[in-house]
Amino acid sequence: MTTRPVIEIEGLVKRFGTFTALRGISFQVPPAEVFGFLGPNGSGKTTTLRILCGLLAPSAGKATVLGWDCVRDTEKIRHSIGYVSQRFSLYKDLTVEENLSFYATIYQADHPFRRKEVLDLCHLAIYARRLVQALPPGKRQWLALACALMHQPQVLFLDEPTAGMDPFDRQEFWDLLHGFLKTGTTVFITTHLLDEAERCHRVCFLHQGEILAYGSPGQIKQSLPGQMFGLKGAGLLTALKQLQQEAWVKDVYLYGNSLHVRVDSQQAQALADFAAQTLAMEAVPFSLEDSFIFLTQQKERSA
Amino acid sequence: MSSLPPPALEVRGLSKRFGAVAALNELNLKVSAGELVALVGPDGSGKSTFVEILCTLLSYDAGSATVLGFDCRHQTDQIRRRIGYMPQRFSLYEDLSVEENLLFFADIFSIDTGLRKTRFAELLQFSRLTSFAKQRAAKLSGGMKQKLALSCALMHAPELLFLDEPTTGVDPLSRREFWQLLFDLQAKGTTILMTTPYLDEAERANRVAFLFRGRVVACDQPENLLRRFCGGVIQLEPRRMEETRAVLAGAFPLARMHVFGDSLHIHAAQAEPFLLEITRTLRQNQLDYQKLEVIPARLEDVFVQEMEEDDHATRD
Repeated sequence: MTTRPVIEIEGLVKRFGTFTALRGISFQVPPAEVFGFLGPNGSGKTTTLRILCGLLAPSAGKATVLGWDCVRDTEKIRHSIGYVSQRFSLYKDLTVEENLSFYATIYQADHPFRRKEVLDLCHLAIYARRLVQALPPGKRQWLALACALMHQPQVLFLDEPTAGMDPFDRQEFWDLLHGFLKTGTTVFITTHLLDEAERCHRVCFLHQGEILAYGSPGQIKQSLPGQMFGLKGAGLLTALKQLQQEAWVKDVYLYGNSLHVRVDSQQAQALADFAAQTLAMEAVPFSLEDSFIFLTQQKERSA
Repeated sequence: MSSLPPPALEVRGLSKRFGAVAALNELNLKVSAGELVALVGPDGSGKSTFVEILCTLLSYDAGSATVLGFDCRHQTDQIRRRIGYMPQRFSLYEDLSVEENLLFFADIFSIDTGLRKTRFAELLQFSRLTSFAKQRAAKLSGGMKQKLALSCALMHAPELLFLDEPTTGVDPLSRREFWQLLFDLQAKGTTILMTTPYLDEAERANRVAFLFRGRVVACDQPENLLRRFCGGVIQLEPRRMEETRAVLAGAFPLARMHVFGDSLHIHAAQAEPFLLEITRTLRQNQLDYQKLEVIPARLEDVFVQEMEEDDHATRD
């Protein structure tokens, strides 16, 4: 079993005219993992993805996929990867199965047996003969995925594949992605939904072309300083205004019927004293969103 | 008995069909003045249809709907003057500047010329868009566009605000800012009904209504909904994921299991006894693990459970 990274990126820079989309990023993706690539719109996610897929040349730095260079060996890379772009186009006037055949033919990988396998895997068997235009919208993304799977790629690149899916579909979609790992496939997925990031083995947060954090969701949450508490009771808005003035409060925001407050551990007592008269206080776990916002603000302050 | 103020919104037995499709099926919902309620449901559950009816943009077939005490069928003018509506699709003019978009909405709502200046300044400050006033809407980031759309919907200081998926595609930082704006509005007494496909987002509202197949299947405070969740979720961090998953799937074919990175989340009707059974199965198969514990359910888990129960109820 090899432990060599499937993707290696070293000092990757990409400029578009005077705009620098990627400012020298470096990271690795180990094999057979679901790797989440996160960041707000315009942070450089899609640019990175396109470089890795050999669709865009970097301005500086190096990127390899499966050991192949993303500039010189693009042909080899393209045969070994699957890529579902944000605007993956399906032929609406073809059936589900015809779309599969079409994409597989490009890779000379069309075979009835494989079609059936992929249809089953992506829960599309009952729609095989249906025209794409008559497919429920949520299922179109499944078909796009199915098309990208026909040639049995070793790495799967997915650019915001769950946009517009409902909670049910998203859960199933993620179960499916984890199923691919059995065959040794590595999944590289971009999303801006932080609750989805929890389902990845490892995530990388991108912000204005730089890496803010890299690690497992658990590691990233642990790196957030202090502790988070939830305050509940009457007069939360007044409490919010008061706490916003306090220097020892690191972060405070309303969360539905409670107020989330992050303080250094030694200030927990100060918060308890503040809450004492009117508010109930309990420890709440950090969310990835808390980490993300902390890291973004830290970065913006230092800039 | 003292007379209570009328609810901001009251809907009884509301039904709407599009041909053979029942988009809303005897839906009931009541929202009190000053509340922030999130309406969650899968695509096609009727969220947008419902909001469009309440905004008097769509007729309905049966039932009753009142907004701020006015009837949605017969008193549409009174309602339209008092509500704000932010549709799902960005509906502003991309080739107009921030200020020009506000001006357009001020014209539509016939805001007095004298009042406009103060209104614009207020809204720009509220949405933190003052320094972008001359910027074309097309040049704004996703989060800023949504804040501008919200500002336009607030031009006539509505009592009740309808937001249809306002934060879809917005990054976390802008999303938190957007929510801060909503809480500011709420503090001023505005009632808010928003739809969202994201359950982690709905958790921020005072109450959450689950919409499924055109009906509200549950509606309560998020913490109460979580308490309703029968059973528990077990988190297992196995050393060998694939083998463990296969063994558990064989031993407990009915249990729902999801992979979260290096852990498995297993749903059980009763967490504690099931935890023992899992421990036994793992030991029998000599499957090692790093962590095994019961974790709190998420709103998503409750939602899926309610959907399944509704499924059974409809079939019976």
